[in-house]
Amino acid sequence: MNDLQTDFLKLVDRYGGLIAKVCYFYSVDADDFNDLRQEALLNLWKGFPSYRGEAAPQTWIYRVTLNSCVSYFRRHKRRSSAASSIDTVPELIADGADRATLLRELYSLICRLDKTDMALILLWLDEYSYEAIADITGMPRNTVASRLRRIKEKLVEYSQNS
Amino acid sequence: MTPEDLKKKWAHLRNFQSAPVNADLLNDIIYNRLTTTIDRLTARYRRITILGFVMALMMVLMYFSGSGHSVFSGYIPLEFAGYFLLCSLIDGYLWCNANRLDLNTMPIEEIATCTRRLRLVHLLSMVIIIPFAVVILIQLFGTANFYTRLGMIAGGTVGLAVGLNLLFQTLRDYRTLTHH
Repeated sequence: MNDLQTDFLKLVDRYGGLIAKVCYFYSVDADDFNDLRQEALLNLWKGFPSYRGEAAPQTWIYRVTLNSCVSYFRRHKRRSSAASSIDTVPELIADGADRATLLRELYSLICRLDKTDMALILLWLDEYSYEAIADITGMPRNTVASRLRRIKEKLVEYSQNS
Repeated sequence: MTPEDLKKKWAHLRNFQSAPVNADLLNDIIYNRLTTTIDRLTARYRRITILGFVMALMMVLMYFSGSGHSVFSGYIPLEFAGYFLLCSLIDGYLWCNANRLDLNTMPIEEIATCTRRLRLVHLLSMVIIIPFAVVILIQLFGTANFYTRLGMIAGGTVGLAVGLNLLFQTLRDYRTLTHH
């Protein structure tokens, strides 16, 4: 195994939680989650040799993982509904029962948003500044601010209705 | 729940360590034994672009040389050439655009817009191409003899089954597209 492969495995080991968390919110069931995480890891590996550390690793991982989720061409396979339910994913990825419950609760709200809105709210929840979000998403800062305001209103509405 | 409550809950999820990714999968990734869906899609578009162009060329040659099976009479080879050329052009457009997607550097909004457009072109192209093919095949049926017609009916039945399956898949794709 060469240095590049070793460094990549270290990166996945360190930020595996972030990748899993983002992929979970974009998935419709457990099989989909596995496909999406594989897709994100593949894209990260493809881009890893050209990643020169200009952005923080977490920001780069966020960008590639979100891009993988947004551009993902879903394959339609026959799935066994019980084993493939999205409810089974938090137990697989979370490191504690309370975090699994939390993941499930947040999923029920965030999964209703469209793909780009989901990316915006995930970045905002992870304390990225409006400028950083604008850079990652390619939107003007003011658009980020106004869209986030609308998204927050929607989430409040969803939580009241659920 | 207010956005601030949401943020507080999210804070519990920050820096959490997920269960490790399957080691076999990671090995397959780092030894380049797997390809992304965009790579596979690009390869498929490239194949159809080249194949469509070659078939269009063959049909034009068939028309001008007057060779080929008797069912390819009149302007049918030229209609086929038009059909294959259209497939080649649409897939060429999809190939070029899918090839331009760079998930490492492009911003999310650009990726989202581009993939949305590609999916739409993909779906619209099927709406144009399928009726075009049906019209040509009906014409072909009219010029064919009894045994060729039998063969066409058998092939058509299989084609219909595959086509319906593709149609349902497309509708599911469209549902996914409109859902997210």
